[in-house]
Amino acid sequence: MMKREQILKDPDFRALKNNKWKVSIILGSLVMILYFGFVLLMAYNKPLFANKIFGIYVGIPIGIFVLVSTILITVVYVIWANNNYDVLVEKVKDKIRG
Amino acid sequence: MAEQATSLGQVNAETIFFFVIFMAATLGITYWASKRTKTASEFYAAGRSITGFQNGLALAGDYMSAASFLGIAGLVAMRGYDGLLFSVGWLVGWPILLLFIAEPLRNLGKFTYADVVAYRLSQKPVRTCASVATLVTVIFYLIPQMVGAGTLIKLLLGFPYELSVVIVGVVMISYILFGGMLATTWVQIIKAGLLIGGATLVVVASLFAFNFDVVSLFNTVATRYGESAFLPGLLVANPIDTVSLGIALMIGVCGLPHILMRFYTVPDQKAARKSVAWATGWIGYFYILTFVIGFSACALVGREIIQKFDKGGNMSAPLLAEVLGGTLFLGFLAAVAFATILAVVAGLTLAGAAALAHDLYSNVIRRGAATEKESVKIAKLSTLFLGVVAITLGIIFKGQNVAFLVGLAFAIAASANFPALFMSMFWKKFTTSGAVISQLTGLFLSVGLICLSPTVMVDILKMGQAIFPLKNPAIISLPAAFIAGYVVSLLTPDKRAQEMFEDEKLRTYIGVGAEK
Repeated sequence: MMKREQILKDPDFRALKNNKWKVSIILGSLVMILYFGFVLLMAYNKPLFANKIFGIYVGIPIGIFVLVSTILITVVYVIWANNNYDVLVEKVKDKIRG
Repeated sequence: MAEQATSLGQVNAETIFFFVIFMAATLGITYWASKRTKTASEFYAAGRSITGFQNGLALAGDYMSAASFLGIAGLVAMRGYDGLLFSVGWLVGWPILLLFIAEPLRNLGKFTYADVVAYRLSQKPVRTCASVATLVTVIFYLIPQMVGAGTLIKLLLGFPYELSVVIVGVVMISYILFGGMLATTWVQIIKAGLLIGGATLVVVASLFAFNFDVVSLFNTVATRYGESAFLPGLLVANPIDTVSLGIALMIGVCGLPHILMRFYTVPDQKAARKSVAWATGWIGYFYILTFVIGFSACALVGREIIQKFDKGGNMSAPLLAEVLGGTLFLGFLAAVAFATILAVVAGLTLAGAAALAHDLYSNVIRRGAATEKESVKIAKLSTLFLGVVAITLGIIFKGQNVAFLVGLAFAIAASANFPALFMSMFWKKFTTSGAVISQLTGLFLSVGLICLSPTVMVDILKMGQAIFPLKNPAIISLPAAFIAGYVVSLLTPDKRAQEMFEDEKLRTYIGVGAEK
């Protein structure tokens, strides 16, 4: 059984905390880049949207891409957390129980 | 279509049929839920019995308002591509909510987000501020919903405006009063299912009309209304304005009290995490559908006809449904729109009642000494009170331009609620004074700046010029709330709060001691 102070210094607990922040910040930045990139593209590169791809104006695939990527980012996080984060959570919980 | 009359706005058998079925189903669920809603945890958090998948649907049902269904489809139909920028803005907050807020929020809190903000700080001042911010957010969000309900039901079913507002208010109150969070959750789940199913049907029927050739759908629009329908237009004329609104929408999701409250209905952080991914998937899929619905309405109904019913294009989706599937389809969609409004106002009112009863009464006035029975009784009284307020405001604001209040509610959620919540969870040196000042700065700055903005001064007061140039204040009020909280906390160090932060860590990251 480990004490609270020991757990806070435990390498598994620190790894769990640091990994979560790392993943969250990387994925969060990706969301920001996608969204504000999309806004700025619409604001400053209007001529681009007049092009067509497979007979469809490019704006439509671009917009759908942003929506779908947003969903995929949440899926990536959940898969990561289920397979990595939760494993460390259980490990640390075991240490607390001793 | 141009020649034939529409049944829109008339009471007809099909609409009444779907309407009655929906009411019977949801009131039946409320009766079932009422037997399982006794304790405070059952009333506020459905006994934490909701699964991740169910909560994902309920979150989607709590979030997708009639404004996003009818409004975005209408925007796309009338103005083309710009509508997509809106739907993307409404979605991008969800991954942020997942990555930074959902799991620690579930681990640290009990019934409201104020539980988390006040966790290691002075309960009285922090909770008072948080509940005022919650109530302001909820009421600003409720007004456009109630006005929308009155207008919409009048347009769809032909009921008088005031009667529609009263029906919505009374039904919503009975869901919460008798069935608490459990009934509210299931109303939201049913609504999400109906809305997503209904929108899918409209899209499939529209594509069928074009032999499933998307290119020919878009070409029809381009031939009729020109290529401008597919190009960025007026909405991005001022990019800073768009970015400011974008910040409000994105971060606002992470501070909306009725959304945050939903995370207490699931058993643990794992379920909280899953529920956000499900919600994002459903909402994102739904926005792709509304986009197709907008263009289909543009091609199959036509802007000229849509405009006759509503200048903003809000009737695009119902009119499209009628062209595709006659009165039966129109009636179904009208009932779906009604369900949509009910689920959103119920979620909002419950969040407001929790702030009044759990935060203000139990923790501030009674200092945590209130019994469960007492707390639930006060919560029910608060529900009744807020319901009456919602009905009254809905009637007072009849015919007023209140759409901007949604943007304001998001700006307040982003600036008054989010910074304090975030700093309280993750910054060791955050203090009681810092929390109070941060919340007040966010609240007053967002409300103050919107009063000085073109939205109020030009569009509503018709004053010609505005003092503050942006339509949404978030780009100023959000950083200001962070800076205020940061500076004040450094000026008022709090040793006890810092020590508790270390204790809190185990609960934040692994859920040790989280409410069961």
